[in-house]
Amino acid sequence: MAKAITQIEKNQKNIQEERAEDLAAIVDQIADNREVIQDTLIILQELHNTGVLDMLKGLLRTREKVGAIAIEQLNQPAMHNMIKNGMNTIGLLSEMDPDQLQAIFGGLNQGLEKAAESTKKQEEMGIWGLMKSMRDPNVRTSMNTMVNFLNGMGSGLKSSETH
Amino acid sequence: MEENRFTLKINNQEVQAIEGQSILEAALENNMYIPGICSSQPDLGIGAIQTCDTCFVEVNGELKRACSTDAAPDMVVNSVSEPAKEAQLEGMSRILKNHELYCTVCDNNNGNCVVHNTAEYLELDHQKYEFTPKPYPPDNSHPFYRYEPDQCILCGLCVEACQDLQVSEVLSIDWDREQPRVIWDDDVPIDQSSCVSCGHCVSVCPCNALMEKSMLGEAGYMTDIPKNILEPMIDLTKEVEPGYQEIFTISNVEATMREERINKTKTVCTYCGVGCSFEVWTKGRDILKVQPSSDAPVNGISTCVKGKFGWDFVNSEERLTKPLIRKGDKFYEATWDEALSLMADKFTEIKEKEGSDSLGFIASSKCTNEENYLFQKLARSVFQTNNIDNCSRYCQTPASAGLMRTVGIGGDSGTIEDIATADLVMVVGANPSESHPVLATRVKRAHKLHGQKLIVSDLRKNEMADRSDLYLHPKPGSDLVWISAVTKYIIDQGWESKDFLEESVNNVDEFKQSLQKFTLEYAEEHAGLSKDTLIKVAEMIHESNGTCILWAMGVTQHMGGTDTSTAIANLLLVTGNFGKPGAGAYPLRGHNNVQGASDFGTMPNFLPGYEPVENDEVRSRYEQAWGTSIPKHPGLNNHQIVEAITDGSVKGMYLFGEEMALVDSNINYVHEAFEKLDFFVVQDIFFSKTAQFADVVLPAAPSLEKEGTFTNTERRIQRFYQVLDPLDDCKPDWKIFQDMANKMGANWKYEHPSDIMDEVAKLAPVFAGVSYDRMEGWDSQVWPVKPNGESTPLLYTERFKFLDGKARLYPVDWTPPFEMGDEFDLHLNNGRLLEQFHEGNMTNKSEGINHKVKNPWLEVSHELAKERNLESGSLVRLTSPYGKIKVRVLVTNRVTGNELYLPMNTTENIKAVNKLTSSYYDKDTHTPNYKETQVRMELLEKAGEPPLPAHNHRFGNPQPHIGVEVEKKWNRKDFTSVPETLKSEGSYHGKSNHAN
Repeated sequence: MAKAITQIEKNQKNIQEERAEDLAAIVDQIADNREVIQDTLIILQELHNTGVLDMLKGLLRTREKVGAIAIEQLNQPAMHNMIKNGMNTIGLLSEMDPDQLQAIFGGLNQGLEKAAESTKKQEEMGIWGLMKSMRDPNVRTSMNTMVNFLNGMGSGLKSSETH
Repeated sequence: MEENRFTLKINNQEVQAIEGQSILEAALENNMYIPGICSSQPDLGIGAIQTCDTCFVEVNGELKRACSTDAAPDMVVNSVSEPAKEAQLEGMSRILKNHELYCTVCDNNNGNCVVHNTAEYLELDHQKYEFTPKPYPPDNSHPFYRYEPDQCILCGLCVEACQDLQVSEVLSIDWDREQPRVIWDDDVPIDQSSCVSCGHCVSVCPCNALMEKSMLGEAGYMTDIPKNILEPMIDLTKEVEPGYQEIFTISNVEATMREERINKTKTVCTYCGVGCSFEVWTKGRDILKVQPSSDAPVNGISTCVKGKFGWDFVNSEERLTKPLIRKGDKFYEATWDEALSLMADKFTEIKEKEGSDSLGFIASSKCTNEENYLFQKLARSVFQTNNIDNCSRYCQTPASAGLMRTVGIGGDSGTIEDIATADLVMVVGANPSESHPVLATRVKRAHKLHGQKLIVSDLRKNEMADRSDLYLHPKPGSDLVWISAVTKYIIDQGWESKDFLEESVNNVDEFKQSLQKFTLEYAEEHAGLSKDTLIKVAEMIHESNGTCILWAMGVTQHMGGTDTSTAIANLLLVTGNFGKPGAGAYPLRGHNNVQGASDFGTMPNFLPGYEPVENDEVRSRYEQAWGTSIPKHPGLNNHQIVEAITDGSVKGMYLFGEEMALVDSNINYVHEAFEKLDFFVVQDIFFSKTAQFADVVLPAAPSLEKEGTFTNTERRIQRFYQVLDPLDDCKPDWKIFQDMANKMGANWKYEHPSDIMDEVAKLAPVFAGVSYDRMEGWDSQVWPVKPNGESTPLLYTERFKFLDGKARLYPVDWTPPFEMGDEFDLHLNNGRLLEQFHEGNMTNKSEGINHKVKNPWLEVSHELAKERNLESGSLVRLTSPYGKIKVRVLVTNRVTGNELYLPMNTTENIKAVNKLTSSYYDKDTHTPNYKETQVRMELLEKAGEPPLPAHNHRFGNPQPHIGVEVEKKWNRKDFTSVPETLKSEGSYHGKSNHAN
């Protein structure tokens, strides 16, 4: 004889047991990863000592307000330019051929050295001297490169006009 | 069918195409990508929508839409030429005028966003037309999804899905206003529309305009950012916008990161017998959404409200999480070991004292094939009794029995595809648009778009009846009469399928003789249908190339349920409607595994695969495999078990996944029986009404927390995978049965449900080739399955399932329905409803569903309301000889005269229809005659709150259209075709693309 019943006696002790089980699981995990955790604690200690943690805490707790301010600051024309310029530069860098750039930078470097040397000596060169130096194959190579560069840049500028 | 194949060239590559295919289809089939946002749901199958204009290609030098231009032999197509790309880009730019790209902070950025991926493919770099917000606020009124007009690209996929696939005809695009938008009904908030919450529109939306609310702020890492930060952030992104490619890079990274925390797991729905499958997206235990896929064999991208949105119960606080043991008048939590030990002791004690047959086992049609198999193995081998049955006894056993008598197999003759392609569909005593919603969509769609004819016979003018070409309202319980009369008329006219009868059917003459009394006059008198109507039915069947008859509880839950099912099969045999595509008998299974539970042996007389337990050869096959004996004599069915408890011969019972205390008929009587049991174990996911009578209650795991297979109404076996871990101490039912068996010393060693299936495949010939490997992912198998794994989607193409291969016409006579006496003057019909599953134990945990429908309601006709002075909201008491209930009235024209309708969605005794039903039953199968109930009614309160809220879809105002009506877009003054625009901008000089 079993009438329908609806009362259920939950095992109250179980909540504490569950807690204990959860804790035991965490302790196991800590023990298994002792070194990592110790290192992490040291890093946290340092962050705390330097006040970084405190700052982070403040930042996180006010994240919505700070976020609004930050985004407002970011959302200014000057900032827009900076971000755009930054992105353009990154774009430029990504499109450049590293080998070419290396060659140019190599040349640039030696050129700089020579230039510095000449500045040190406080050398002066007359028109004739300049004309003479045009015969120097090194100078000619450089001039040639420059002219070609100007040529390319010109056509680049033109094509962006038509767009 | 001969398909006309030819080749054409797309992007300099030879491509095979079939006549009638569009360029886009041909390309996609050959794994060549052509963009096409509004063609992103090929499964919709409504042809080209032509709204997105991103699929332009050059065809012989002319720009054309790839989606609406037929592929032709030797055609030369270019989708990557300069003009083609310009045109695609123009189409995309127009879309982005309507859609703000903030992908990284968008919840739809999950790698499958069609708008995102198309823009990325087109290497879109800047916004040609500035995005402008539309003057409409987002519509958040619906509990499950939102519409954000500002993100809506007006592709109309949602409209197509609603109008032509789901065919609820709620959504349309209002092209006439200055800023077009999607509207619901005649432009009301979504929640107040006729929207049935099926989720089709949300599932097909190619962006984030329509989204599940459960996704919002949850799917992305940064999508929960407060509005005051989000909006400036979007502005900033737009301001510095270096080009979209960089943004796509970031959003792709974010989308990839989401894969780490969002799991997508395929499952099979448990809310009816159609067998929809889909992926469940979860983050931890949270269900983000249900996403159907065009790969799903039954439903494609279709779902209903329960499958799409009804899964909150898995995380309900009310879940059973620990075994409970009754001590005195309270249940106490216990360990599994305590519970199983007690069960082993008690069941053994009863078995030893009273004999094996003093135990009863009730299986669950909601649980898996493997679990049903193990449960009958437990009953038969460990406890040595065949007293085992499942809930198909309450619904579809008469249909199976009727089919076994005539054609040999108790299942649907074909698949949902046959139903969709039939010339004529006849629905008898079933309401598929509420009980089998996705299957109903295929009929509604074929009827709306493809000229399928529809006959509906029902007491209620339900949605299908509303749509039908011919609606029959016979007298309650008279289906056998009019079906037999139609059969006789067909034979009298000489319209029977003579060759078919000659070659494939036995017993023809005897059957013809048996029809003598079923004249049109007899039918007119007893079924209340006019001769003209019956002749019309006969003509429609005669004129159709193939007829499918769909039936359900309106036929089976009668004292003559098996005979009426037999009469249906007889009619189909006489007209040659078996063994060919687009024809046959379709008893619609109500629960997800009604078919499978019986298939896998939880029946008192059958071992798995419907092999009689009495057959020595069959039994010894199992005895050998199991290493135990099996009792020879068939056991008791559900109904007989309850009787046997009452008369004291059954003392112990083990039941799982079945709310018998609410869904069996005449529950007062059933409750009394339960009280008499010496020992009763109930295994469920919730503390059900039935569990209240138990001595031990075991916490089981629902389908989302385990693996297994279900068999749908088509006989299709589908695998589902574990979405979540079992909650707390819950266990999958099959593990519980194994633990129980092993407590009894059985030493079972199944490690995975596939081990169980392998055992069944070895033992039951109809499942010979069934294996988990063959059902990976979306793959499925339709039994009978040959040893090589070959399915049988269409039955009887070669032979019927009898020794001589011939079907049998089976004479049946009419059993007039049970009458409760003149005092009970109103006929009470009952059944399910769309939103809540069955009594509601699972779906009533969903706030959203409860918002739409919480309580049952009593449908009363306008005539009766007038006569009895009732209005919607009136409280009435209904009394039958078996009990009384109190419910509120809804006055409606779905019912007429003195016929009432009461859905079964309640867990409260006082509203439960089965307080009123009797203990009479189908004479052949003992299925209760739920549908033969009469009551008397008393008015308790004239005025009160209507039981169905005004925002229920039943009060909506649908607006039928054929699809999205793109011509209206093209006719707008501000519309210029893409090729025209390009021409005027000078970037395209080819011939123009027609008028649009």
